[in-house]
Formats: sequence, structure tokens, C-alpha cells
Amino acid sequence: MPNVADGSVLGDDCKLYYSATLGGAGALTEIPVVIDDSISSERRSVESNCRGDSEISEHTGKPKYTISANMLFKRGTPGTTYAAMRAAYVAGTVHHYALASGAIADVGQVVFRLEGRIKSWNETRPDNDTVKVAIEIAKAADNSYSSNYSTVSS
Amino acid sequence: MAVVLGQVDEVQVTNADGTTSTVKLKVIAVVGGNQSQSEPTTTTGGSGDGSVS
Repeated sequence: MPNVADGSVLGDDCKLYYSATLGGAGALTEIPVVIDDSISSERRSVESNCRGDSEISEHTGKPKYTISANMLFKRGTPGTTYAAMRAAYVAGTVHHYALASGAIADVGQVVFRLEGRIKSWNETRPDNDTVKVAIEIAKAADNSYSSNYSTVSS
Repeated sequence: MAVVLGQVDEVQVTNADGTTSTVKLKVIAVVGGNQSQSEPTTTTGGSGDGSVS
């Protein structure tokens, strides 16, 4: 596997993964960023606004972290991951989430892992083919997994 | 579930393009423990502090 690029900053060019299996050892599935390349770049305002736009927030005074992220899906055929995420939001299902800056398979990549619920789901459908969903994932109070930073060792 | 520094999880990953890989994630910092915010204790009744004039 290649090494992670120098100067990589967690949150840049992010990739978000999830697993329905809790505990940190479950198989991860990437939440895709799907763009219709047939649309001219002039109309890709959504893409330019949210590709790689993600952050981890620490709440002072509370040992809690949240992940804010934007997911992009293709209108009409958003795919199974969209359905899975939305169902998890509606049902309040706790998932294991892993946020990486780039490919998670790169050695040295830093990954933030948290088990929580999608607390907000802000879906917009602007005038192009992309469905943008801004989400916030918060630690589940009834889940005992300790949020952590990990690095890809191999 | 307690997470220990240095703990290594071997995880299967399915990428958006359908490819799969296996990565080893080594914990380098634990930022959250087994914490939950408890509600403040509330009491009912009591004598209070007296009237304010």
C-alpha cells in the first residue's frame, strides 16, 4: 500500500466510512461522493462547496466529539448507501464511523473513529443532478466505544 | 467498549468503486471514554431559603 501524502490534514479531501457492526472491527463501507460528470463544471456548485468539506469538533467542557460532513449523491439513483444512511437517521441507529483524509488504505493515514447517531439531516436538491446532504454525527450516549484517532499501520 | 492505546483492529474496507481492501488501524489517541452525561439531580419539596422582601 502507498504511504499517505505529506502534509495530509484530517478533514481535507475526506472520505467517510461506516459500519453497522460496532466495536471497531466491523467491515467498513465508504460513503460515496457521486457526481454526474456529464454535467458541465459551471453547474457543479454543490460539488465545489462540499467535496472534502468535513470537520471534527470538540465540545469544550464535554468529552464529546461530532463529525460534520456533506454527502453527495446522484439524483434519481442515490444508491444503497443513501438509503442506509437515511434509514439510520430516521431510526436513530448507532453506526461505527471512520473519517479519513483520502484513501483509508494509505499507510500513515490518520483516521478518526466514532460510534454515534446522525443527529441532523439537511438535504438540498439544487438545480443540478446532485443531492447534497449535510449531516452531523454525534457520539451516542448509550454506546461505550471510546472515540479515537488511529493510524493505518499496514 | 474500552479502546486501548496501541490496539490494532484489522478491518475490511469496501470502497465506493467496489474494490475491497484490508487495513490495520492502530489506535494512537483515545479522545473519548465511556462517558455519558448524567442528568442533574433534581429534588422536590424542601424548605427553601425563605421569603424575599
